[in-house]
Amino acid sequence: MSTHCDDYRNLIADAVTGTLDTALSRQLEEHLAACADCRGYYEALKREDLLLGQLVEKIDEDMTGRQQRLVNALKHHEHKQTQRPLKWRFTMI
Amino acid sequence: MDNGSNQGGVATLGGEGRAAYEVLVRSHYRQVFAVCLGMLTNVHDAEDAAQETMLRGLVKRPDRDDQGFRCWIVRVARNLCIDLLRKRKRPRPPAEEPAVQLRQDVNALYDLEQAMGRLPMELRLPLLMYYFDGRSAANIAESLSVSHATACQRLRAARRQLHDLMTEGTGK
Repeated sequence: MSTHCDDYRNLIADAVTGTLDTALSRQLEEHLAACADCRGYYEALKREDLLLGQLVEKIDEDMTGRQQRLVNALKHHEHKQTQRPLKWRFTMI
Repeated sequence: MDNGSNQGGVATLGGEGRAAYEVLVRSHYRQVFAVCLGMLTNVHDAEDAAQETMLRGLVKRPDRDDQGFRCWIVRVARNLCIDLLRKRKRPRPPAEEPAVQLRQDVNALYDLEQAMGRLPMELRLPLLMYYFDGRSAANIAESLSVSHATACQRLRAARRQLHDLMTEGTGK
């Protein structure tokens, strides 16, 4: 891989995360049309992007359950606050 | 270090205060969870830390608008995770979560989880936040209090290092 290609791989990483500006996107497209190695790199990063999306989806499956457990913990916390002895509560004021 | 100490008005405890706080929880929980996961690498530890963060927020949250609350609660989560990591003394190996059943992608997903666990925290955190929070570098910059350029640079470095880790030893 040439230094030239290494610079384009930075652009590829930016393109995959959607942070590449339009002018550089065109420049990258031209390079990809001519360089099979960088095309392979681009495809690999796109595949990894899909996998990252799947990983987050997998973790997200129980997100509602996590939120509900947290809401329950908040209620429990509030209940404990109201159950404290009156004397103790006065010392907190 | 802002570890959740009360700097502003204290949230009113009680049913009404808690109900209002639940709205904030539902808006910001995913991001707090992503921060905890990015730092601790284990889903169960992340859930515990996110819950502790939100409980601290209930008692100590300053009187800030929604955006201000988001930055504040993310900071509380990061500080809490730093404390937890210090207590661990040395990092745990990457999380051994139950394998997901996603057809032929099972192995690839497992490799990805392992590679994520080996990324430096300063790269893993923005990368996870990016996928959890609308794929926006601007959101990451705001939440981590860094410039947009820094957020983009960390995302780039994270993607490149992740790929290197995923293809280590394959010669690709």
